[in-house]
Amino acid sequence: MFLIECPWCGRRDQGEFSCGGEAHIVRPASPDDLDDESWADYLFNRKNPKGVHLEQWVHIQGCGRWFNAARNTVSNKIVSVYKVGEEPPHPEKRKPVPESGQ
Amino acid sequence: MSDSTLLQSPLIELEKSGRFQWVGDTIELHQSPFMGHIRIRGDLSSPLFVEKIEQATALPLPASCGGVSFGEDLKIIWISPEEWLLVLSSESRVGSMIDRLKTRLEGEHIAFVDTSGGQTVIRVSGENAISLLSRGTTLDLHESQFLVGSSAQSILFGATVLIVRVNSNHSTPLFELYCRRSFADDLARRLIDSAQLIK
Repeated sequence: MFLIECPWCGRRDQGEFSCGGEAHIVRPASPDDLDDESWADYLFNRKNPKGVHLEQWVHIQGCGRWFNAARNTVSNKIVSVYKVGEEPPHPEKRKPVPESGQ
Repeated sequence: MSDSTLLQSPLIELEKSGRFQWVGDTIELHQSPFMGHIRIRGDLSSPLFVEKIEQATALPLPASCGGVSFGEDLKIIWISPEEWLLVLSSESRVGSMIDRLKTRLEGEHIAFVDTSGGQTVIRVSGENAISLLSRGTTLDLHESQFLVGSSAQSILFGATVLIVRVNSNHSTPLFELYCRRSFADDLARRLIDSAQLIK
């Protein structure tokens, strides 16, 4: 068990939160133009890194809000949390947007 | 509003007669059923929304986590950055309050939901109230961390519970636990079981 800092409620136990998977995945602007491989990549393929990973979390048992967290997948240390719409602290960790995307 | 004679307390199974209560040497549990609960949603950055809510309730709208505004027979509890729980002393007052709020905020992007039928309040008091609640939550409930007059929504004995530390005239702490009525029976039983272990 570890503590997660909710941007609104402060430090709370992990049990109050739920993880929503990788953050900053942008839906392609025109899916019809994508080939099967790119579409499957958008739907299914995730980074699964060893190290800092940008994730979506929700404070489901508290204020119920979604936010993003940069978590080290090896040490489980939350490097930073930031609100949805804010720039991530490690932009290089973002998943690249497919060419036909926005 | 439904007729109060038709209402059944969420803790009916635990009540032998009258309202639910459990009294130990250092802990007391009581239920306050049939209170009025209104979920308010709106935009805190809208001055009109804040002003009208404050006019209608005569209470300031808490702006941050843990904030509670206490009135004589109503209170407003912060739930999330755009959601509040307005608690009234009786379910029968909910209809007129929602009407009053709606009239003042007509056309605004807001929502009022009457959740009175789905929620209940269990009051925990006594000198060992903090020890009891600490057995079921990861929150630090010590007075220096969880201030008198503040609130937090968290997990208590497995249920999602909004915990409010109420100002009380007594020297012992008093907490109000807002939970869903379907969880209330389980929560009350777990509180009683744990309270019996505390000497």
